[in-house]
This record gives sequence, structure tokens and C-alpha cells, in this order.
Amino acid sequence: MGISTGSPTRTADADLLTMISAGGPFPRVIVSPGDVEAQFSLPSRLFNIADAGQLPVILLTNLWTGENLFTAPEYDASELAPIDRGPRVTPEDALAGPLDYARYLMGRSAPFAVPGTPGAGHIVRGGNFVVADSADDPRGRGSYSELPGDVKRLTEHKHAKLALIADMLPKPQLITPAGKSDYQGVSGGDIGLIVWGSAVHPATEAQAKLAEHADVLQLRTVYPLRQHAEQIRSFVRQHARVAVVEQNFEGQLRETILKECYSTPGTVVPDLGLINRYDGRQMTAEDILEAL
Amino acid sequence: MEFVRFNGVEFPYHPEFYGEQSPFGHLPLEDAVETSFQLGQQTFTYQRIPEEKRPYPNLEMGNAANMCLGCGHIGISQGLADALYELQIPPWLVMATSGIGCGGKWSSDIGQMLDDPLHRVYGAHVTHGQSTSSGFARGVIQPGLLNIMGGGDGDIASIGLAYLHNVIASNVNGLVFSMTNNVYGLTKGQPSRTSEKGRKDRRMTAALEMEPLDLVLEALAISGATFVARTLSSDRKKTRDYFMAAILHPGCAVLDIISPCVTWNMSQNAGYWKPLLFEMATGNYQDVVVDLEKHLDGKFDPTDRATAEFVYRRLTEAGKKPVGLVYYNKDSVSFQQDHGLRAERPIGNLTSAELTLSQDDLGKM
Ligand SMILES: Cc1ncc(C[n+]2csc(CCOP(=O)(O)OP(=O)(O)O)c2C)c(N)n1
Ligand code: SF4
Repeated sequence: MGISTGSPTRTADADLLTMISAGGPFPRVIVSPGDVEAQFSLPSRLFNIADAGQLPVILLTNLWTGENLFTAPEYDASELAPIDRGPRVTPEDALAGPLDYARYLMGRSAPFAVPGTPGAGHIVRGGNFVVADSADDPRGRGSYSELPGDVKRLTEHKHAKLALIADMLPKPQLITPAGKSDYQGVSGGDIGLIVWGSAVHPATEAQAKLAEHADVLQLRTVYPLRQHAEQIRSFVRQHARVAVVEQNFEGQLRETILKECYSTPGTVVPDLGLINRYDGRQMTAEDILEAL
Repeated sequence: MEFVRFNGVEFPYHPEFYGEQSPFGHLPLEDAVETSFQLGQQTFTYQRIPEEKRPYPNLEMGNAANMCLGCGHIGISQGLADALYELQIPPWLVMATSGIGCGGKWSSDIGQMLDDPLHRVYGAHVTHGQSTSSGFARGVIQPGLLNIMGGGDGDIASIGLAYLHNVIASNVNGLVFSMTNNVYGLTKGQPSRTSEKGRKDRRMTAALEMEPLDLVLEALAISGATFVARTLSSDRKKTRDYFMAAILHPGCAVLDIISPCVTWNMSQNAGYWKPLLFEMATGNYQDVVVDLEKHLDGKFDPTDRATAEFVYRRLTEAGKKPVGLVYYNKDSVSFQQDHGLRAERPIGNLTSAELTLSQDDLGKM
């Protein structure tokens, strides 16, 4: 969340591709809650993901969800994940004995020290340059380096961190006419709708109005998708007609699904339909029914 | 909780941290002697710990960041290290934030080359132009620590200008320094926003047509800085003194430090600048602008913003490069003081229990 984009004071879910590439090639997680309940319950989990992987987690929402009145069940604090700040060293740890502090450990998240912790001073990497532990720096303190070997190892280290948090990412939600659950791979029917953002509301409304059996797969983690690729492919296989329903022109989620779930050589690329609306207004169930 | 204010930083005083038994080096506050130094006619005082009792060494960098020999930036980092040494601020209470550029490398270097982990500062080498915005955030979540933001003039005054303006206006406690070489050094000498009008080197197809941005004027007249000074990097002692005064100042101090780039802006070396410099406190105004001396009643007063701006403009119009303490608000109140922010527990060290919302908290909201 942050910058506002698109048609001013109107709505869309059209920032996925921007967010995937914004700021350069570093790993990130992008989550779209889609409804107000999830907007309440998900962020606590997202903070934990950010701390566990020490990487940015981006929450995408839209104007329509933020500016409307909804009736929702009373917020229940027990739905919130207890905050877990990940590995850290504190001033108290420093008192207990000298810290042989390593900020940079390749392939994992090293303990984080807040400024003010004695003996854990370090340089935070950022921008275009890197710090890395290397043969000269076996203790992983990190130092300035532009050497090709260091840049390469650091890049690999950054990207390897996604694997650390893959299990924590919010899973695809299956919404059948009977109700909601994490997708377990058992569903099937005539129509499958894959949604993200506030398109979930018209999709479930259309589902109820359709004569055929329709299932909705709501993606909350919208990037990366590799860790959920098997579920997504199985959902697509088990439905006769599948469309991605989203509120942008390009079909940004559809593009991301094809790239992340169907790009291994030999994979058969499915016929994924696109139902989209991009006039700055929230999509309706009628839009979907008409397109189907 | 008991807080200590010591040479521009404020920290909760744990005897285990700073007392005689401290495993981190005993900070002998009891031996500190109140000491003064002058910038022009202005006097600044600090608590001086005698050299033989200082727990922390000079964090001077070893040029591990591969700067060109003779680069003005090296002298600036040394001046900063000297100031930290003189003020004896524990290195772990120092947050050093820089952007990208040759002028961004100091934060990776200062103290980082020393073997003792206790001598390392908290450096952040952030995105080009974002040293002030990132530094502001660090200053708010760690209100008592020493917040140093700095980079090249490209970083601070070109791409970072909008952030600089707001950070100065916020008066967040800390200091912003620009290593002003009037080019983009790291990317091989392109003109920056401070390059002079008419500049043309052999790789430019046309001369620059825009008036340069004057960082001092920007800070003084537009952003409303509470402390603005300019100096030349080649005088290490002076650079140290300006850094010390900036650190002691409650609020956002701005230092524009002229720093020759010996590789891409050879003509603007120290020899080029020296005849143009005009010391605001001691210069002979009569020689430059005839009516100024009369206007100033014989003495330039850097504590009045309107006078400072007027005099500064007249001097620049006369072709001079004014240096010295240009403006200084004695009654400055920092953002942190104004908002009652104190360094009891940094947000980063709050525990899981403290951060988890209960149904009760929810009800109250
Ligand atoms: C966002 C962004 N834009 C542009 C660059 C390219 N770049 C790197 S350093 C630099 C300018 C350096 O000039 P300055 O900040 O004055 O520092 P100096 O090298 O002169 O000390 C530029 C434009 C970048 N790294 N990031
Ligand atoms: S290119 Fe210029 S600014 Fe950069 S290190 Fe060399 S002399 Fe200094």
C-alpha cells in the first residue's frame, strides 16, 4: 500500500505488475486481502513474514474496498497471528556476553540488531551496492564490496530467502457453493473463476446465480505463485472452463499465473479466459455472468 | 527512567552500559570537562573527556571504499570521525545514513574497518537520494541517537531535494551534510543540480543553461533550517568543528561542504575555491559590497534569518562563495523534543506480547 495509481479517486486492481518489478530485482511478497475481514486479519501475519524473511511484503488493496461500507462479523483478536519478530539481538543479550555479531549469513536471515545495541553495529545494504560476507569476512559482519564474486553471491542469497518463508504465505482459498476453505486439491465442476482483489465479491455473487456448478479460487498471495503452483494447476485441470477475473486491462494476474505456474518447458499451457473490467468502477456479478 | 544528555545524544542511562563495570567501555562522564570552541563569534560548548580516559578510538576510515587519492570526500569523513572522537559518542549510538555516490560511501566505512565490534556504527547505505528520508525515519524510531545523514550534492540536492526540504523543515534532530563537488562523481562527471551555469566539458553537447541550486540558500530561505553552515573540505580541523557544532545543535543542522572532485571536476579544486571564499564572520565586507558593512553595524549576526539571507545573497551576487556559520537558531526545538519522543525502548525491541493486539485493545479502538 502507499502510492495511489490509476484513474484518480476511482478503483482498480491494476498495480500487480508494477509491484512485482518496482525498485529492482529483489525478492518480495505481494498479498491482496480482497475483503475487509482479511484486511483485518492478514497484516499481522504479513509482518511476521517480513521479519522471518527480512524482505519487503507489499499489501495491495483498492479504493473501493477502502471507501465502502461493509457489514462484517465483529473483529476477533484471536484471529490475529501473535507477532513474531524473528531472530534478534537486544541490548540485554549484549550485556550477557560479547556478541560475535553477524548481520550477514548467507542463505538465511541473520539476527537483526536495532541501532543502540552495543557491539552489533553494522552496515545495512541497500541501493545499488552490496555488503557481503566473504573469505575476508568469515564472521559475516558485512562490508562494502563491488567485487563480482560478492555481488553474485549476495544476489543469490537475497533470492534464496524466498524459500525460507514459502510455507508462511497465505494460501489460495477455495470458495465452493458450500463455503470457504484452504484449497486442498479436491474440487471440480463446469466453471472455475480465479480472482484477486475485490473481484472476489462479484465472483461469489455470480457463482450463486449460475445454473452450472462454479468454484472460485481466491488468490491472496499474488506474488510469488511458484509455491502454490500445484494447487493452481490442479484447480485449472479440474474445471471445464476457467477464467481469471480481475480489475485491470492487461490481465495482470493471468499473466503472472502463466509465468509462474506454466513456464517450465514441457508444461501444457491451458486456455485461461480473462474477465476484466477497467473503467475505474468496481466489477459486478452481471459483468461476469455476461462475459461467461 | 533516567536519561543522560551527552554531547547531542540522549540515552537511557543504564550503569551496566556506561558505568565503571561496563563491558562496553566505561564512559567516564564524571571526568568530562565543559569545553568551548568558536565558530566565528558563536561559542559552542561540549563535555570533553580527556584523551587518556576516552573509551572510544577515532573511527577514521581507511579508504577501504576506494576513493580517488586527493578526493575532498576523504577529508570530510576524517573530519566527521574526528568530531565523533572528540565528542566521545559511543559508536553504537550513531546512525549513519547515506545514499549512492562516491559521497555515499562514508557510512560503509566509518568504524566498519575496526576489529572491535564495539567500534562499529549503525550504517545504512540506502537508495540514491533517500539518505534524508531514511534518516528521518531512523531518527523518529530511535529519537535519542545521533542521526547523521549525508551524501554527494547529487544525492542530497538533486534527486533527494524534495526529501531534503521536508526533513529540514521537520527539524528532526540530526545533521545533513552535502559533499558538494558540483558533479555526479561516481557516474563519471555528469553535471549535477549545483553545477554552475555555462558549465561545458568535452562530453557535453551544450553548455548548462540553468542557474545552479544553492544548497545554503535552499536550506536557509526555503526549508527554514535552524542551522546552516558552509566550509571547505581541505581544512580538517574546521570540518571537525562544524561537525561538532552540528551534532550539538538540537534540530536538523545543514552543512554544505565544498569537496573537490579531482577526477571529474579538476578545475574546481581547492586552489580555485580559496580566492572566492568569504568568511561571513570575519570577512572584510567593505571590499566586497560597499554598503554592507554599514548595514551590519560592523558585525555579521548569524542568529537573524532575514539578515543572514540578505547578506548571503549580496555576497553571492558579488561573486563570492560565502563560508562559515550562515544561520543558527539558538532556541531551536527538535522534532523529537517537540513531540516528546524519547529513547526508552526502541520500537525494534518491543516484544511479541507488547505488539500483539488483544480483544480489549480492539474494543478501545
Ligand atoms: C535512483 C538512482 N538514480 C540514478 C542512479 C545513478 N547514480 C549513481 S551515483 C549518482 C550521482 C552521484 O553524484 P553525487 O550524489 O553528487 O555523489 P558523488 O559521486 O559526486 O560524490 C547517480 C546519478 C542511481 N544509482 N540510483
Ligand atoms: S570520482 Fe571524484 S568524487 Fe568520486 S572518489 Fe574520485 S575524486 Fe572523489
